[in-house]
Amino acid sequence: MLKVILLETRDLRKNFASVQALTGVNLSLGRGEIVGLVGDNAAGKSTLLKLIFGIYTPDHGEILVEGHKANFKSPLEARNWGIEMIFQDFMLCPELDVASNAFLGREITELKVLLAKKRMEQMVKQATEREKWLDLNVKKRIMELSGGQQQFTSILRALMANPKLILLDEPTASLSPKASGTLVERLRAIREKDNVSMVYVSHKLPEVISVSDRIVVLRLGQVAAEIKSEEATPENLIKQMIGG
Amino acid sequence: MRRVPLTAQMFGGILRLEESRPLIALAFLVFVAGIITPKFFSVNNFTAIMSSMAVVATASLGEALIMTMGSIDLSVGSQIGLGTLLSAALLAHYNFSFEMTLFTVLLVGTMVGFANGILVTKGRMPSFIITLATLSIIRGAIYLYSDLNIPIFNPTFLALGGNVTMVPKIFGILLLSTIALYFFSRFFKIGLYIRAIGGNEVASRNMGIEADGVKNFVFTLAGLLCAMAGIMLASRLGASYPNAGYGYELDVIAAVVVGGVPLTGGRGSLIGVLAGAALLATIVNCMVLLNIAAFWQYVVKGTVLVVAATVYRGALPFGR
Repeated sequence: MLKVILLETRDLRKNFASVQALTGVNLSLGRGEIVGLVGDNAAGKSTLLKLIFGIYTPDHGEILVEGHKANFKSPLEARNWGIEMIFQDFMLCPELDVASNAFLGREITELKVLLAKKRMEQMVKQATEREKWLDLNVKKRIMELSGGQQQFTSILRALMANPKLILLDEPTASLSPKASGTLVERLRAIREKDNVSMVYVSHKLPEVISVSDRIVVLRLGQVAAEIKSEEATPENLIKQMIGG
Repeated sequence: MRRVPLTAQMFGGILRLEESRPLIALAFLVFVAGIITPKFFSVNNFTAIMSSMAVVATASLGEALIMTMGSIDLSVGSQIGLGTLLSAALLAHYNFSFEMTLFTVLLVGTMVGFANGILVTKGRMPSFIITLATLSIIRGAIYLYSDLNIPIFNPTFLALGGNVTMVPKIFGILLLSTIALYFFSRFFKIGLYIRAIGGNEVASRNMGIEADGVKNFVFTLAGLLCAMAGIMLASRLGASYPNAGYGYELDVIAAVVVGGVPLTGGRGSLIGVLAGAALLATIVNCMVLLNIAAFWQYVVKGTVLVVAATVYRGALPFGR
């Protein structure tokens, strides 16, 4: 079956002063596909996700979404195209409640400026009833939540937007093994149901293997290898990561 | 996870935490003041407190929004002084009408606030440094224009500093401004963005919030409020003097901190800030009634600021 390409990067490069973070990354992602992205520290994994999400702009190269050039200048543009990102450090506002964080940047309003707070809370409640494992009280402030619950909030925020593509940067770093397992299970279920594509970055190699269809190994800012998940083992991934 | 403070548990259903603590402190202070100073509970005294707090409280509203956003404006005193000087100079030296004077002073104040915002956002500089610089620039400009008092004779303008049945008009303006800005900050999208930026600016930007635009807007609004405070001061005094507003940044920032806005930003309530300004004005009023030397006011204000900041940081009981 011919795979419909959702995201493509062509010769993507990014430097930070004299440091070459990405030195020409070519990557493609099919609709409904989950690609694991692994690499040693400073291999360029987070930089690649941030370039796709519009936090950084590339020095060279192109990002294409559904065949259209999409070098986003801001996360807002990326979100408007249906791309969401889940960050290792949550990217939440500690003083705001769960509902406000779940809609941050895309609030529901009346007359364009007035916050429809009740409606947002209702929608978050409905979403947490659908995804019961996201055990959250919508009115609680983020600073009152545990690290795991904060990560649940950022996952909820991504899911609430009905995205085409979710970029996940170490999403289980703050989760218990049980919650991590549930997340992996739910991500695959969401992919089956809504045909959402995902790029999954993690240092936990067994987890990446279990969630992904395909694994891309980054080394020194370039794609070093692409491996089907059924053929991948932690050992051969490590070998590719360190270039042995 | 943080524990829920006692005051929030007690008043959570009625008031928010940021509002309940300064209001409780104010109520306690009024009670104590009534006991130790017999003249405290008189209509004239309350009129005096309302009149004296209006200038600082009005500027505090803008400062509160800026500090909730995680920034700070040190130039408020100079901006108030500029508003006072312009009011007097336009009326006395350039024969502006009452309406044109108000319009011009508010316009200039708005532009000064906008300049602060642009310098902070485009210059990628900390607001502390930028507004420290504008504090000095504006004060210098005031001294350069005139080192003399400028009396105001326009009766309409002077009437602004008067009372309506014992309530100062400028206090009425303060109340209306507080109510309007309270609804703006709690129910409008931009109010949420102000708290979001103060709580986590990087997260706000990464979620697509135009943080620079919000900052520019808030600094501009604060400039407008400082100009209003300057007009109030001019109408109260019936004149401008070169040191008008000098050192007010301490009073304004103290009112905001006592009102429950942390220096780190992220939260705050304008009702709390109003209570904070009232609390400081009440302390000063008590000291006057008790014939305590004026220099002690500085000591007490500074001490109150330290205590409030310490309590809110959680280092003392009742803190979060």
